Amino acid sequence: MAGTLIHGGQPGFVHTLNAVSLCVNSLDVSINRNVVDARTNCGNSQVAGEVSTEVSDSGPCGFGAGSDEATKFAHMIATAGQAWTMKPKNAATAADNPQYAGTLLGTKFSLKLTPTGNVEQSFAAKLTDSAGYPTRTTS
Amino acid sequence: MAGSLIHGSTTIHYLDEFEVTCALNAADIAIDRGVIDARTFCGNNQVPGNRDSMMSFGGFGLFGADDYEEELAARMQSGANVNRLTIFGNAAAARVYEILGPLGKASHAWKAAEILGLSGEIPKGQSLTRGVALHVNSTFTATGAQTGQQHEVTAATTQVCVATIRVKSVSGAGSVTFVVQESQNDGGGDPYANIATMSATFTAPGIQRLTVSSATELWKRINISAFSGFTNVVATMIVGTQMPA
Repeated sequence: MAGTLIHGGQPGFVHTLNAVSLCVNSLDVSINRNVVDARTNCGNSQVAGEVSTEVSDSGPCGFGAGSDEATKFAHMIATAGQAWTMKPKNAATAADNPQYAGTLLGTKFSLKLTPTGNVEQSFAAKLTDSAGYPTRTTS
Repeated sequence: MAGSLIHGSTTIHYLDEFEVTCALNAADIAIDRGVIDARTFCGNNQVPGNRDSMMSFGGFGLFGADDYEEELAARMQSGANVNRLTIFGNAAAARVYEILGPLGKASHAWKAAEILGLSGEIPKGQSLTRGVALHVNSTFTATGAQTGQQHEVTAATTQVCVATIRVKSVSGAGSVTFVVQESQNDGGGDPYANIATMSATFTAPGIQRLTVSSATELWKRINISAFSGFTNVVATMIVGTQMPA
């Protein structure tokens, strides 16, 4: 294997919104490129188009000052995007610990309650950076 | 963990002044925001759109006077706004989410081998209020100031401070008046003072939702300014801030 495998929980990936470190059990980032079909009678041609990025997470919801709930609710009622970062582990950014960063605008924050488990949350957002994709740094 | 986890079995649920905690086994709250793709020839541009919220809930159809099924049916028929409250805990200071809007759905799921099911939904399009519980099913027997809770400072004009008082039950006949008060520091140097227009009088169980758009201070509490006739009153009270549209 070229590269280092990293377990999600040990030491634990980092996921921040508005400089608050969030605690989730899943984080999904989807970087999508619109690929334009420019096929003509001369042959097949797929042309790279615009990029867009979507971020979502879910897991048990923490309440209280500085909590996941407080951070995400405040984000949803804010009128502007907020800084977001993620990296595989809580250590210095490096080639084996790249940081992805950008500005997020939340599209959904939901809470789910059942009598048999903790209150669960899910959150979804779009990246608003003009490039459409997050900035990736390794140092 | 950023914050404290809360188990679902400790949460409290209301439809208006009727507690439905023992009828429900599911509750969902969602806040949505449209993000408008305003891409032009100049490049990518994502613009925040409108926000709205919804709440759905489901459980068993408790049948009887003033119970879940009857209350849900009455509100479905009338089309009147329903004030649906979820308290993330069962004591004062717990986080609360409240939404006000008409019911969009009441669904009966009846099967021969199961308890009869009943669920409802306040559909997308409403504004949610997030706040803190001042009292959860507390019993009051006399006038007097109650314990304050830290809420938040709300700004004039741009924010709406909401206080909702639910009188769940009364014993005897009488009248009680609740006044919402504010302080910068829980009365330590800045005495609690009444918030203008935030006063509600009850002579029977009911709900009153009080709003104010003038600035309010960090701490809020209830003062019972008048109490007569009743032996006791059981009430749940919250204070919150309405989410902007």
